[in-house]
Amino acid sequence: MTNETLNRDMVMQLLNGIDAGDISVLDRVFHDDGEMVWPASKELVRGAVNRRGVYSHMPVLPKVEKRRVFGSGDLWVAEATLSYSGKPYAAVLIFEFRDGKIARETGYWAEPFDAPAWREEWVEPLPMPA
Amino acid sequence: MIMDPSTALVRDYMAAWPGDFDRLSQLRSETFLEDWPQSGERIRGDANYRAIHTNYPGGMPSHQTERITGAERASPAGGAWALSPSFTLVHLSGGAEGTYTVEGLLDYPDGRRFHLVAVLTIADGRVAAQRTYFAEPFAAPEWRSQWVERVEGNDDE
Repeated sequence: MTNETLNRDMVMQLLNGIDAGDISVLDRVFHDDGEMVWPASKELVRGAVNRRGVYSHMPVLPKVEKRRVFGSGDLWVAEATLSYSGKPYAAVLIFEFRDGKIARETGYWAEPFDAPAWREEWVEPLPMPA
Repeated sequence: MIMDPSTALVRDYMAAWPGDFDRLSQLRSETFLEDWPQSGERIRGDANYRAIHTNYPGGMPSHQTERITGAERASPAGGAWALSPSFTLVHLSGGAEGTYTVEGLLDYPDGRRFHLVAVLTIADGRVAAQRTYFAEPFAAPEWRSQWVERVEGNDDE
């Protein structure tokens, strides 16, 4: 595999591992000094020790339904539905790679909402899965 | 900062977004589609986009942004990261497929603030498609505070 497909494969391993409840995948795909940045809560998880601390104490790991994984080189993006005890979020995860492992993840979780009636004449249903 | 044409297009586009309709029309392809995955809505074409946003209850949001982090990629094989103080966007990243991910902040007239993530597909020098996500700020949970640092956001008062 090329470096590029290896990076994409790392993202797939991460998403599949979390979906399977296997948090050991984090150490395989992230650098020891890798960072997770979650701007909406202004949180930064720096390094393997803190990453393990957070993930081993998560009240529930999400089920992961991949929608899109795209990118090139050292930049890869995953759009996925992450469901926590059945509560879904539309997540966007941006991965910056360095030397074949993830150096930084930037993650956003967006809550579903009902399409408002006032604009229905100008929209159409989004074919699913979106 | 050396900018590839697609990155320059995305920057122009986001400078016009969401309310400079004429400029957005110029930068979009004829078959522009915008998807809102959270609500399962698809906007087909620029005219529908304009109709929604001119009828938006309470008015459209504005950006508040302070930096661009960009992948300036001249070719699929190359690519370098650049960090540059700039204006509109919080974070901008790009790939060789012509798909760009924009992170930003939105402020609505009623005071609500959301993080914006927009995935833009560029084709033939135009924005052909956009998928837009609106992520609400939330309080960092207490249970994980011992392993987490607080990041200074540009929305700190």
